[in-house]
Amino acid sequence: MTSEETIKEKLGELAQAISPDEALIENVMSRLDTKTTAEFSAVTTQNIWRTIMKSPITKLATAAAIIIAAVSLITILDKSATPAYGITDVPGLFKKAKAIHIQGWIHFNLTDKGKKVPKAPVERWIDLENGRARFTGTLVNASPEQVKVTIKETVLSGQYKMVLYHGRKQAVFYRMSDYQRMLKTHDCLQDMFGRLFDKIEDLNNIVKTGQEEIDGVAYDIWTCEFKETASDLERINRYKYWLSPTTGESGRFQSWYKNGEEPWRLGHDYYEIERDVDIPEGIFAMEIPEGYEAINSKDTAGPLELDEQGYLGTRGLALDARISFTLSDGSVILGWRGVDTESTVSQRELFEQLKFGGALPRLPVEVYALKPLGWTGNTTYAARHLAYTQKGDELIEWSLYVPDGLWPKRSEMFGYELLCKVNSERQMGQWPGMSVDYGIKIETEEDFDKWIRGAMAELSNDGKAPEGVTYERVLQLTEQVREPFAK
Amino acid sequence: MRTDAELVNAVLDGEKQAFAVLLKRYERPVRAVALGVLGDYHSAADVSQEAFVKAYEQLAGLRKPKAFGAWLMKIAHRCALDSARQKLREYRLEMKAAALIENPDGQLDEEKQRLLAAVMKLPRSEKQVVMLRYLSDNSIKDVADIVGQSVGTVTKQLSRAHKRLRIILERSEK
Repeated sequence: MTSEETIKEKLGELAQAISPDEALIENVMSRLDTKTTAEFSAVTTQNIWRTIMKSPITKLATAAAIIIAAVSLITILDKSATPAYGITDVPGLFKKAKAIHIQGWIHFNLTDKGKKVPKAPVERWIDLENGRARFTGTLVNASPEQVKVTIKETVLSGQYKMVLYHGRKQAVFYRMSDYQRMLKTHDCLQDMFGRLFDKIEDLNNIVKTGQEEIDGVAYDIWTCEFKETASDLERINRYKYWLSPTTGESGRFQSWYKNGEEPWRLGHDYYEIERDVDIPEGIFAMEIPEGYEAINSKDTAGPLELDEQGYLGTRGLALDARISFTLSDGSVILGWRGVDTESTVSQRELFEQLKFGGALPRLPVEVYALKPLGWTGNTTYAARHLAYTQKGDELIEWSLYVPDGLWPKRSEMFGYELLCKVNSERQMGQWPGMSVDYGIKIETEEDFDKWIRGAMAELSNDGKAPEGVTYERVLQLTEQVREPFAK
Repeated sequence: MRTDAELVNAVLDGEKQAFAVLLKRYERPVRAVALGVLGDYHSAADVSQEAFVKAYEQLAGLRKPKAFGAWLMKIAHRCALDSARQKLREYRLEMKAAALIENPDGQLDEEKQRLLAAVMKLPRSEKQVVMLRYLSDNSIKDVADIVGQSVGTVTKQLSRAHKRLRIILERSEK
């Protein structure tokens, strides 16, 4: 265990490694000799950052540049890359890409009226530089009478989101804020990264199992197998990655699975995995295909609510989980509402006396704790109030949940189960189960300000996050909450 | 000792030498920020010069002079990331790796890189006091004077920063 004294020593050694550079000081001052103080009058009091934040276009470009710069930083610090590429190099190569394209198939182990359900296409274009994305989604409706697979396609660009429902040939537009578009592009990327790279980054028993030439390029095939931990099924998964050792290019990805003694089945098969690809003209154009019905237009498009998680209403009460985030110390921040849908009384007085770090408001439905879903451990996350915001007439509670023991990695869980109690005279019994996602991982103050304070501002009538909710204060609070658990 | 805010206002009033004091005060923290991104001393020195010149040019736009240190380190970080992206566009990854391998004296060793990366993850105010205390060789009293806080506050911030660094480093070893 590293003691505080050791940290101080190491900081001292670091300081010695970065010795003073008098030449730098002289060089800067001599460059400034050519500048006069008159130049200060040419700089207005409005600083550059404020100029950026006033313009939606430059704000987005800056946000996209921050995303790229942040992921580039991971690669710069990663010294594992060598001229001969190994599988552990792959996540880093993708994290620094400006544009990514994936194309392939999802296979289904289903039959519909005696016929095998055909595979469905999968495609994602992600333009990290400009914060745009186009991706497919697959919906499977299975009942004893019928199995139906439908594809929808989502395009995120500028101020709009367009969804094409290919099954029923309809197009719908939504208006998005910059925050929403950044969030959804980030989600698209993280979902893809999670599927492709979680197991590599866990170094989960991945070995080279073969070689194959595809279109004249030689690839090493890397394979890993792992048991499904987040499930009661006796299911084993096998991931295969085709990687060129000379260029680092990914040729193919396949995920296979096996339930008990059944044969291996193919799940996902991506035959095109490109990074830093030139994005063809028109990929993000919001054109409605011929023969499709436009439900609305950009002009009549309604605003997209920040409503990422779920809504459950029953017998006059409702729980509305808006957005969740997981911090690198394992704690979780959740924006949520608990309401009596038949009441017209304002909830404001339930919030007014609350303090940062104190008890939650006694809302009609209260999320008093969380538990990781699908994980074998036994940890509960204790709740503390951070702040509340108001959007329209709705009051949103922002709570912090701190684990009382070890916590799982993202790949070891499905999400968080909301432990709820009812504070109402209505006869409810047990509140039905509900869960939220792991959400965006918050690792730095910059992440916190961009995603969490950004979400609070998004769900606030004045477009501002509450002042007292800062990264520093939240980390201090998690330490205080943890202290009794650590003893 | 003059605070950052006093020095910034002096520069804006025409006292250019006041900027030299700020330069000396933040020269090593800024180089540390650049080094944390770029990995080699020479590139970090170049980028640090650019960061200071940019800070001078944009000084009139700094709304809170007492936030100079944190603002400057942000500028340095952005300059370093811009430089890193520019280099990535120009070179293939294996060429950059080869250059680093050929010039091992131009970079921090792995342990110090990890520590620097951990320092970058600290909250803004803690990062600034750590940089000023260790990289600029200031006493706690001097750091307190520079940032305009009490000695007690700075001591607490340093203590929290040490604990946080310990946790970050222990986690990264696992």
